[in-house]
Amino acid sequence: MKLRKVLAMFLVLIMSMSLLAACASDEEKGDTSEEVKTESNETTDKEEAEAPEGLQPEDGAELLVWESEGPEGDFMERAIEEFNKIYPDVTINYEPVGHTDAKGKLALDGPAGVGADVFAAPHDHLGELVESGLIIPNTEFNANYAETFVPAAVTAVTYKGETYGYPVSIETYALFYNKDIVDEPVKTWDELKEFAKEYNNPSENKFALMFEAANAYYDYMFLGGYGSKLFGESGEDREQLGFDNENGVEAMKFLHSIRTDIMDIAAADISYDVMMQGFNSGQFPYMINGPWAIQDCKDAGTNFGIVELPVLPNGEHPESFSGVRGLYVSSYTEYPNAAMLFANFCADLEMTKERFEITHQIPVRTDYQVEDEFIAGVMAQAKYAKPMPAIPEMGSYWTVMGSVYTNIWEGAEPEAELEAAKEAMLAMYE
Amino acid sequence: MLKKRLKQLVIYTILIGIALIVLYPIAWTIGSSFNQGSSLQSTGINPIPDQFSLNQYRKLFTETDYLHWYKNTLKIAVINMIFSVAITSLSAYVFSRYGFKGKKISMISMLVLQIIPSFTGMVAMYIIIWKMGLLDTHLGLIIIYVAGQIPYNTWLVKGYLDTIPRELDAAAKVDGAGNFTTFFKIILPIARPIIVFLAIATFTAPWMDYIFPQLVLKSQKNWTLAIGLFEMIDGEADNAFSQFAAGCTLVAIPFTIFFMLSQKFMTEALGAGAVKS
Amino acid sequence: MSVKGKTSSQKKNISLATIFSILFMGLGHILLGFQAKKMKSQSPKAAKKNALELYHILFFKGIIFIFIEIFALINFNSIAKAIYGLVTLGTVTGEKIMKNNDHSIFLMAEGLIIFLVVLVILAIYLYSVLDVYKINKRLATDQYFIDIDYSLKGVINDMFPYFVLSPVALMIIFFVFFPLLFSCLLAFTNYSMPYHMPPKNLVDWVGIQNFIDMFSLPNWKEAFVGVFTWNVIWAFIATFLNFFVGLLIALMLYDKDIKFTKGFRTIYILPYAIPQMINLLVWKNLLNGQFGPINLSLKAMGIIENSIPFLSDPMMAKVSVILVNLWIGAPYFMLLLTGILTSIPKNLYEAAEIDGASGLQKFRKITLPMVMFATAPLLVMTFSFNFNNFGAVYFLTGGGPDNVYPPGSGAGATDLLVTWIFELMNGMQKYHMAAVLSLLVFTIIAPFAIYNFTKTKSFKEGEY
Repeated sequence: MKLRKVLAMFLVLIMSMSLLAACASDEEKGDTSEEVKTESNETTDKEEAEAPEGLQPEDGAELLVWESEGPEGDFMERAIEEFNKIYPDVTINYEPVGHTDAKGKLALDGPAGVGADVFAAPHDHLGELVESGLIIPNTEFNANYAETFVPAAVTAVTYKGETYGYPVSIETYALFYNKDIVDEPVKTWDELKEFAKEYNNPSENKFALMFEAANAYYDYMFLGGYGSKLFGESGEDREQLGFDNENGVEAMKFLHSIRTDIMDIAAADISYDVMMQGFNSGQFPYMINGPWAIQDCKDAGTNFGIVELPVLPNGEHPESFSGVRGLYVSSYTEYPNAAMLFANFCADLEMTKERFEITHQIPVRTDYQVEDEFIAGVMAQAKYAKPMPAIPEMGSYWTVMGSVYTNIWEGAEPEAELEAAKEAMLAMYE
Repeated sequence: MLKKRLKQLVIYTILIGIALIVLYPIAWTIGSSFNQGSSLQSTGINPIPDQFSLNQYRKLFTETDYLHWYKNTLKIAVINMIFSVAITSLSAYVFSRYGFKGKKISMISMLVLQIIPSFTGMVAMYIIIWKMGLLDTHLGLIIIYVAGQIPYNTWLVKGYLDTIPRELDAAAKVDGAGNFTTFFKIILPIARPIIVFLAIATFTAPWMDYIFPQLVLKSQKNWTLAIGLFEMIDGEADNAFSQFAAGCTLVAIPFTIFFMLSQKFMTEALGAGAVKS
Repeated sequence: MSVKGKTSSQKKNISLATIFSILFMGLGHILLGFQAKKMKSQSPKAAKKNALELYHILFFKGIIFIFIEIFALINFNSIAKAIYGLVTLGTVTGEKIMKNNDHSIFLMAEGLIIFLVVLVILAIYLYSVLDVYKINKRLATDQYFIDIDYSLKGVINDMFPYFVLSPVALMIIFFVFFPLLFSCLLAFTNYSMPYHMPPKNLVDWVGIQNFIDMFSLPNWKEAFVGVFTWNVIWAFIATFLNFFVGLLIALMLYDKDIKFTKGFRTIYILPYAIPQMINLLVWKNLLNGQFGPINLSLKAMGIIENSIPFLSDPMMAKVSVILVNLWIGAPYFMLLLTGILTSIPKNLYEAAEIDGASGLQKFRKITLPMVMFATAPLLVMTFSFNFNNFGAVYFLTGGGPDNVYPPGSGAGATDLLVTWIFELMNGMQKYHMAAVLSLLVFTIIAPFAIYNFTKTKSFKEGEY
């Protein structure tokens, strides 16, 4: 009995103490690591002054890398292997974290010490990443970026004049068509509507075109094509929404006309899965999709081609969003040198070639052009593409316009919807 | 006689109708898990795929960490069950049988605490798990589960124990039995149905919860089934629906067999969960 | 202090013990311990063992209390710092190296944890003083250890509930209470993407501004009213529909003219046996309006001409959520009610038959009251479960379709408060608004829950 009592009391005591101790000791730990950090930073400064090329990884550096699962992840594992041939002492672990999820995860994981040192992110997250202090600038390797990378890629990883990322690929969406069904792809949306009149057969689920009609990523092409520039020409002016005018209304009317004339399907019933399946099985001769789908279509044995998006009734090309995937170095990394070296390594010529082989994403280096009929199709559209704005307010575009496009697709009045969208977006700035 | 026949006919029709409604989605899922291609959509009206293939199962074991996730989930579920049952039944026993200062207020607090969905405190839980050094460990997840279920389940079990006549344990005490002896020898055996109910409930909870595993577990090796399966269909361009279906089928089979075998027992246990509290 | 009489010196010592305890937790216990040891020698033989045990207990307690106080004093600095952090939410900002900035959210959490720990220590402190006071009173009246049992066993018996419950209480405090308290505090800050995210920016206390926004900005207000109304309706329908369908099935299977009941029951149990998330994701695919097999089948059979917009029409989507939830939830009630039906005494029915009652009468007068009596408390529990049934909505519709509320709130037609909160936290990182919602849910439901509790038997019986 006595033993039990003692045990019970100790349990209570230890639990409360260890909690307090955990908090207290962690504080201390935080302090010491801060010191270490500042020290190591000084040394980098010195090295930088002498020879940036001679940047060496810290002793015993251990990195964690986040990249999406799938081909991108496969590439990462390959890159780690290669990197270790040069720097055998750096341990690098890869964990699958979607590149769009990295921002949200790092906010907590970074400070807690379990976040990535190097991670992939789309460039429209850049503003939020910088404003919330999650990444450090790319100061070591940005000197020759203007010559090394295509202009769009350099712009995409730059925020307020400072370079942050290490660009690895660029992407936009274009028109996929099934060569077994159409010989010559349509040039204009009017032609596509004509084609739909003959082709569509809803009872057999045959539709001329399929795309994710309520997705703000795709639907921007109509706004842009009708002359609405989101956040201004530069994409950095948060006061200029661009769509709160006649052009915006035109664009939205056109978006709805696709529903009535080409694909009369509720937004909630359209999914990526449905689109891919129907395209590969020949139900939908056209789809709007990006280069990430090329491998899947090839695997399915579909005989397909890719061309630029059809011309709008106003004679303009749709202005698709283009995105640049970049690698970024977390501001919480214990080994900034190793992290920067690795991120840079993944963006160099050799690795860019590797990356293309594995992921089929479009490279952004000026010294490496890809000869590929599918990529050529995407690149044709890329001429008319607009890099997604990277300011922090992009987050409110996704939320607000996501539901506005849905509403319009389901038949809401464009004027009222855009007015509401404007109010909602401005309200979210606070 | 005719009336009886008619009644039978009506009831059988309804019962068979319900059976079809219940079985169809299940058959459809199992059917798509034997699909050659990756998409669930490729299975049409007919739940049986055109080409029968074990491709998805093969991929599940060779290309993903499915077995790892299965083991992790099983481990978490079992440990969670053991600790939950031990802690909850003991504290319910104390609440049911002992008078002490602060009893009423603690009971009201426990009642109130289970109103807000627990994940609203996600950020705070993250921080506390981090401070204890338990991020990316199963222990961290188990602690969250065990602690989280205490309020609700203590209430449930206390309600049942209240229906057991006090004379029983009073008699044992007179015979010189201690607190623990009374609990283990007298109360537990009588309370078996509710304990079984509790065990099943706490065992099944971790299988498909995906909010907390996502919060606590970082590396893929440590994932549970819920994250692993959900990631198959939730990624940016992930559409491994048939693989998901295969994974689900393998989770559902042991559960189904268990529930079928223990049907009578389950009825008893669920009835126990319903006693007046 | 100047008590006269034989035991005055003793009383003095003992009161001294209380004062000692107030000054430094645990000292009083040690003092009383020595007192007891001294008294041991004067005690009759039979009480010697008693006195010795009391001495051990007091000494042991005293040392533990002293340890706790020393521990608290050693850490006084960090405690003060943590509380300061909680009040200010950080002051250092604008440093280039992010780690050197104050992280408001961590400061807040640490401050709150320390605050709770301090509360626990204060509670222990209070207890220790009261304990000394109580023992000293007893010792004063019973100096020879005869009337009162001071034995270890007695103490353990007295303390038993606390022994069992204190680890449980600690777990609840730190893993349930603390997180909820923390999220309540968030409701009074501006913690949100992109401009109020640590570590680059500090988070500030903003008072009740968020609540004012919730009820004055049209997009928030409209969404809140809509989501809340639907949430209540949903919880009612989901609970009672599941209950009655479950009852219906149970009754049909209980009918003595029906055979193969075990087989049917085995089939019906399946949705309950398969984890919920799987069921819901499968249904999501089955119900796809354009491409889902259900619509395809109905069309192929010529029952409908146009697809039913199961998940895309706001009204229809609500119906779908309720029906799918019925598919998943009815088996539970079926099992439960079968158990209860079996327990209804047969002779009740026999008596009713002799009185010439019809089948319907028997059901209304016997079955239903018995069943309702047994399940009423459970219905309340199921109601509160359904009120926060995250999975049923999140995995089936994801809260959509989105086209009913003004844009910007992130809420959709089938969103419940829980799923909306989740979207605000995970999707939009508007932690402050998510916290406001959870606090509102709490203030709305808590009174009902407490009222309901005060009506239960166990509350009325109280502590005996």
